Amino acid sequence: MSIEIRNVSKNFNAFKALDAINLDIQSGELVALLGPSGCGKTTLLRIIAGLETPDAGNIVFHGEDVSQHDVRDRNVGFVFQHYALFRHMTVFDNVAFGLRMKPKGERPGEQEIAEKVHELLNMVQLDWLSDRYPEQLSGGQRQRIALARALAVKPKILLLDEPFGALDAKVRKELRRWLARLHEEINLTSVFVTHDQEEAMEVADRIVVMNKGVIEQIGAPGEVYEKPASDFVYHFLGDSNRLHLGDDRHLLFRPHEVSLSREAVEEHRAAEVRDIRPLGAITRVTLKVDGQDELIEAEVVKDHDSLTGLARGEVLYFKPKARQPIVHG
Amino acid sequence: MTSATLTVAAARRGNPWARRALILAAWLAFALFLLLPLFVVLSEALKQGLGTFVDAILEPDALSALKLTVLAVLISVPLNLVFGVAAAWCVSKFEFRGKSLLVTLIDLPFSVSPVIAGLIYVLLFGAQGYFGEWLSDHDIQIVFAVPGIVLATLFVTVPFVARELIPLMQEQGTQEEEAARLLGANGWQMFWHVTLPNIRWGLIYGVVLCTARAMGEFGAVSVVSGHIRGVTNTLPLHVEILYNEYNHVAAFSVASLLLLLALVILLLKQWSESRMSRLNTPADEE
Ligand SMILES: Nc1ncnc2c1ncn2[C@@H]1O[C@H](COP(=O)(O)OP(=O)(O)OP(=O)(O)O)[C@@H](O)[C@H]1O
Ligand SMILES: [Mg+2]
Repeated sequence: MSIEIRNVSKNFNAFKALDAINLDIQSGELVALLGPSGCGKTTLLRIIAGLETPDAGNIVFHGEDVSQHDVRDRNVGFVFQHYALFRHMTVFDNVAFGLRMKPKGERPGEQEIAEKVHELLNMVQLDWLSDRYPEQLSGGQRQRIALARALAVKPKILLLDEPFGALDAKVRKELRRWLARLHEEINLTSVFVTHDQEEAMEVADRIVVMNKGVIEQIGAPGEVYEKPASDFVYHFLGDSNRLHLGDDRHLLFRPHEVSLSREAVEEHRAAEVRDIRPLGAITRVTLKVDGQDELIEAEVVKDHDSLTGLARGEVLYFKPKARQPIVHG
Repeated sequence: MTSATLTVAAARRGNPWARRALILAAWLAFALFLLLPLFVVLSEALKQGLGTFVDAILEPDALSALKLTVLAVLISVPLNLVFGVAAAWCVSKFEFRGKSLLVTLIDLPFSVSPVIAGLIYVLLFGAQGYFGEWLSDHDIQIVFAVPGIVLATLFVTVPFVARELIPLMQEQGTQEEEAARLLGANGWQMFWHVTLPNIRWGLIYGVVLCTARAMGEFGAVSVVSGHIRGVTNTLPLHVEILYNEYNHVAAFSVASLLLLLALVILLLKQWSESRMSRLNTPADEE
């Protein structure tokens, strides 16, 4: 089911949380809303779900304007940042809730509900926890139960608010791969919020980069990374260096977009080595250039020629690869 | 630094003697101010034997006072329950103008002396009051009659349920309710299956406190009662009348009846409190 967000604005008192947002999401897409804290990601997600009413604009599902529809009628699956499991219900009852709330005519029998719930719990690989209460679960388990609960009513649209926010790095990685697979298997249209660019790059078909209530760029992961529409997007999608060129001009480049050399080479600039950090497959060298306080970080493969016998305080020559210089306005 | 704060500080550092002294002092105070009066009431009541005690309680005026007290409780507590839940719901789940005014109004009976509350009802509904003429034209008696007692009881007990629930519901937030709506629950289903189970122990606690107050209220009820024996006397009023008539044994016998009810309520309160603290660890935080 496709989602169209047309000119949606939302103010909280005098504060503009969302300013004329336009976004089309194709059926079956997995879209990431990426942006710094407070930029309006949750607000946008809540407006799509109908938990919040926009001050202006429309939400269209599959060609039908649902702006006036109640939350209950939108049939949207929603996973909250802190899961919001029903604390007084067992895992089983949590997952069964949506089925049991159906109107009399559509409500399946308890037998059928039990089958469906166990099927879902098996899918999230937590069937053995069905008698536990939420407080007896780990964060990752709660997260998967919240997902199973949302999927029980067979939503066409799944919205996830920082679904992996509270988990440790390893579980996060596991779960997001799992989510990407699941998304494919059950043919959902999903939007998930994150402020972790790596997460967005890894899982999403398209990334929507937001800042201060507006969309900065929409594009495939490669596109926003390679062709950032603004300085903000560039900075936000990974580490970046700024090299001042004088006359209010500067150059932005990523740590790996650099060529290093021990000898003075054409077009390379001299810099003092401040720090050398082996980070597994790559090594990060921190450089100090004359004329600016901001340090430059360069990342090269760990067996790069320039690194052999390199020590702090020595001089290294570097040159940013490609990228146009940017004129400061 | 005073010696008291010194002792407390010492206890906190783990000085076992200071700690024991403090605990002993607490128990002594408890015995002096709570257990001793309890003992006195019971011993006075039973001074002339169990027979007199039972007679005093089964005496028609005492029974009618008991009935009136129970009636006042049965009417005011359910009404407060409904009002308390509704008010707490509005205050904790919605933003609206006049919200802080509503919270202040809910607290009003705590800050107004019960006697004044009673007087307000006399002023409004008494023979010389604002609505007095209209009421007497329609043959309705409120003051110096049962409705007045119920109204006065209602007034003084208004804050109990709401006060208990507002912080509880504010702390729990609205996310579970939102989750229920998203899963297709209608307003009533959401309240019944999600909100109510989450607040039930707080609710019981509030109801218990409310009941205790409704039973024991003296000031406000005293003003609107008119002290008509066997008609508008509640248990506390009846105790006072007996006491003023130097009928000490009967007074203390009836008092011990109230005391018994209070003990039951205390146990209920203890129980709901322990359930509440156990169940109220939020499940959706890490
Ligand atoms: N109910 C509200 N009342 C007032 N201001 C609000 C409300 N909800 C959100 N805001 C404000 O709107 C802005 C956007 O909030 P939102 O929750 O959408 O941010 P977010 O992008 O999800 O941030 P985070 O990554 O920290 O979750 C914030 O500045 C926030 O303070
Ligand atoms: Mg958020």
